[in-house]
Amino acid sequence: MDRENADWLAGLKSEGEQREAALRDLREILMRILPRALSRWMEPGDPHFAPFLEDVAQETLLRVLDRLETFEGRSKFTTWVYTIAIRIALSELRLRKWKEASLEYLESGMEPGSMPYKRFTDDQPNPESSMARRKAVQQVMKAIEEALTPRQRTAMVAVIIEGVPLTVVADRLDTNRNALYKLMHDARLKLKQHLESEGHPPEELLKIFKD
Amino acid sequence: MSIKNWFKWFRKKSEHTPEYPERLDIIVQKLAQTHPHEISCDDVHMALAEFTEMQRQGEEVAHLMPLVQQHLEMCRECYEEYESLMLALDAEAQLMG
Repeated sequence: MDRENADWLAGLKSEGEQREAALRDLREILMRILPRALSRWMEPGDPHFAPFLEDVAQETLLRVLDRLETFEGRSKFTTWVYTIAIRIALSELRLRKWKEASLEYLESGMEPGSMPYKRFTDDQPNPESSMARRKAVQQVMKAIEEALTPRQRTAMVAVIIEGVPLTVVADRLDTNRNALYKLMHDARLKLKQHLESEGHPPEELLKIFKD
Repeated sequence: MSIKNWFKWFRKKSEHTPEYPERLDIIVQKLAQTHPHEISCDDVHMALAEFTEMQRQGEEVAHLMPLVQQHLEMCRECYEEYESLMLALDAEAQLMG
């Protein structure tokens, strides 16, 4: 089973028994390695663990065969395969974990409108908040209202404030993780530039938040 | 949901979760780390095997692959995948020598 990259590629690109042997070996490696790679996400004692691993290994082999031409040989072949397996597994686990979560604001979207940021910040439960900190909160909230589109605002709230994974938000917004990261990046840039143009660069606000 | 309703929801949630408004800190932190040019999750996925192997070999990946490093600091999901890959390579070294 100890193959070099060229051996893996030759085996998987061949036909018949040679290809089947390479697939068997790769599957066996995945079934040994994945339990450790996913140990922070699933307990081996979980009754769903074994069938989940089988599904991930199967899906990984299909994707590896499909993307074989994109392997550039910049790493060990097996390391490249692990990245594919891990992405399949964690994407599925994130979707399962958040399946039942109510994220109605994602589906309904958000319309721009008057933002009660002054009242919100005045009502902060922490009475020890400094005036500077309250003003910083107001500036950030105001920038979120003024600079972002409803979709950008929705994504930023869900991912950064609510902590919903990109995969889950992308699924609910009917897009993909790559496009969502781009949307978030555009939103962060707009917010940063807006705050800078108002004389409140994020680096300065951060100092206030940390005080 | 209108933005007005969303802020009502945020405010209500803040009352029950005292640390909730603190999460605005995270937005500001992310803004301070934002670069005009960032690579995508797919770009990181393509480079992650090489990045992780180089790091394990003691290479200065933050210097050699700064865009991957910066994305990992910004994107929780890519970072989780990087962490799992580290565990996979630990397991490989241990189990398959």
